[in-house]
Amino acid sequence: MTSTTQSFIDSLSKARDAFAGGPDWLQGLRGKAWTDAVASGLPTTRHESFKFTSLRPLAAMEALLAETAPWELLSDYQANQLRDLLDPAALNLIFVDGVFAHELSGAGPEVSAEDAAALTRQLHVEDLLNALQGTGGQQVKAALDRLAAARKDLPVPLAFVAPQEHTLANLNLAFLRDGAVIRVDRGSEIKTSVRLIHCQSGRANTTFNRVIVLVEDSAQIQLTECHLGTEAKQGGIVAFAAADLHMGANSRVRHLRLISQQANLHFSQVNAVVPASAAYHALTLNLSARISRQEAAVMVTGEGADVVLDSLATSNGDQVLDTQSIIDHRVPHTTSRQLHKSLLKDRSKSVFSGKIFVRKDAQKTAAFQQSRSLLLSNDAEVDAKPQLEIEADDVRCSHGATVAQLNPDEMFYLRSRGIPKAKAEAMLCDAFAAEICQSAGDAWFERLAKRELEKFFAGGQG
Amino acid sequence: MLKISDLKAKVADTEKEILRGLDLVVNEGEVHAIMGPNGSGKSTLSKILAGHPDYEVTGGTVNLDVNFRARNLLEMEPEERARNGVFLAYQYPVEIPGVSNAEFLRASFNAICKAQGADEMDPLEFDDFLKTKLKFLDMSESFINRAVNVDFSGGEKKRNEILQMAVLKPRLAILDETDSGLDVDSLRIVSEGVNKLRSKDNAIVLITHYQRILNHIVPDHVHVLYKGKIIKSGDKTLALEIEENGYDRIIREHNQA
Repeated sequence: MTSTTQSFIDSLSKARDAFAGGPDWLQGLRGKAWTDAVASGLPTTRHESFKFTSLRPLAAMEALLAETAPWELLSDYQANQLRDLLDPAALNLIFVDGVFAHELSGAGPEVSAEDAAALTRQLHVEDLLNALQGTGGQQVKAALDRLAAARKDLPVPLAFVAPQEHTLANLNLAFLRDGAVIRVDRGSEIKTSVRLIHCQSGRANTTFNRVIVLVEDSAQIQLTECHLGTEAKQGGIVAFAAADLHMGANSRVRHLRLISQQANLHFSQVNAVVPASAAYHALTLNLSARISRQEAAVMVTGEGADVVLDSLATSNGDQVLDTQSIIDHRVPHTTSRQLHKSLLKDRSKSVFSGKIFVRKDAQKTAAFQQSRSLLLSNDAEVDAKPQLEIEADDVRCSHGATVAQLNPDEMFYLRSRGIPKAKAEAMLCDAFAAEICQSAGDAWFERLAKRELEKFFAGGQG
Repeated sequence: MLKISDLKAKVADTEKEILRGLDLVVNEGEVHAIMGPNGSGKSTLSKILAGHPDYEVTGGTVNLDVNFRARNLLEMEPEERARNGVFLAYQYPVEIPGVSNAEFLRASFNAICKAQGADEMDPLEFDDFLKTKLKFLDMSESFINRAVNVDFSGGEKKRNEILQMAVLKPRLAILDETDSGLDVDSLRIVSEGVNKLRSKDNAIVLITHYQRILNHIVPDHVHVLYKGKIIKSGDKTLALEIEENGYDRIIREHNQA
């Protein structure tokens, strides 16, 4: 496998020229990430956290990176689809092939003048490309350094041990250029939802994106990330994405994510640093991808911090959806709650590895984790690995994992009321998914989730 | 409307025979009560009529008149039976977390409309229709937005079954121990609901342990089921006799015969 996976990395090396500019620190950062990625190569199923997720399909790919202004490449059909998707009551930030599409972005027509004025005042959005070149560069560097330092401190037994397990993240860093820096002023409550909508032109097959979010003390924001795959050209598209959340004390972030990539590949990292009295509530809907790997690292660094990390994975056909998370409770009196659900059809696979670490000093931690899977086919496979590592002695923590099939009593009850078998199955699956989807409390997001979920129910081999 | 002949059945995966040659004929407009001691096969009969996969029919026939023609009920899938007017009110209604009662009732109602070639109702239209049914059964509107049977009291679950019956207007309703676990007031409300749904075109098979519910829903025929067979049939006075003397004498007479 090594020789073939190198071919993807080899093809990327040719694209590096376009990433040669910028300040020294940036060159150093990209250079180191690239060197590490090349030295390690892509992970294989011999590496612990990739045991069930083979990256073989990535091997066959020849990287073709995004051109400048890729939104100009959207077909009329794609542009119309994108327009229909936008939330008229939100600030929509559009990324095409990972590149920030200023021209398409902005507050929707239903955002009131008052809210729009508040957005301008309190929320600062900058194209990462510009930020890196201009005065914002130091701010980005400081944020990345801070994050690297916080991540370095992740407990060894729970972090990815082999260097290969960091290659995907390193590749995204080696091509750091496109994305956004979003800053919320101290004490500001952003009432307007911020939707980050990622779409693909279909021209590039390898895209990179990073969003850095700086939420100052006592600020509040709701962020939505939607990663929508276009119909894939031969071999599919691979999207690398990262979101870093730097939260201030007493701040609140609701982070809704939806990944619906169809036949494409999606690799992402979410990093969140949650200090004193801050609340980070995240919900990820991993609805389809040939391979999707969602890595989250939440570092709980201040007393009174509260974390919710919910996720749903729905897979059909030969899809592999992989959810990896670490919640690291570093200080006393913090709470976290995690519910992961997976719904599988056909020969698809769902991997869940949820690690919760309670450090020696983190007394009075309350951490609860649940993983529930529903198998709709005998050929589907769930690999759920909840891990709870507790060094403190005065904590309330629990975890559990269940794997089940559709409840035959519920099925019979519905059918005995005239509901056809397929519809009854869909209703029960919907109900299973709804627990996660509806906890978003966001009508636009739930509508989009419903639309994408319908593709899941209709897709695959039943 | 329903003709059961020499029906024999067992629990699937076991050899335990539960029904051992059961005969029953139910006509339009009739109410039949089936009584019998524990383990006589009462609930098994109701589940077999609804098509529950846990039971296997090993002999006999069950025919249901559909459009004036007898059709083999046992060959139909559970949903097909429902679409042809068969309704089972469960002894233990199933809880379905995450599915609202309104959504469930509408899916059910529309599936049956569709099968019968009638127009389906959109959510708003159905909501109005449902409200009239709730009113008809003196039930609170809060019922419809709750998840199906989840956190319902015993009485509420049974009322929810009757609500479904009111919405679906079955031709043949089988009420499986609808009276069990009901207090006096709930029993009266549920019975009144059933009585309002009686007509000359539909039939009700009432499975019960106790004569009590028969004071409210007066049967035309009463049958005693014992060891998988109907051993005695009569009018409503048979129920009163059982209430007074128990099943012992009837069983003794049957054994001597």
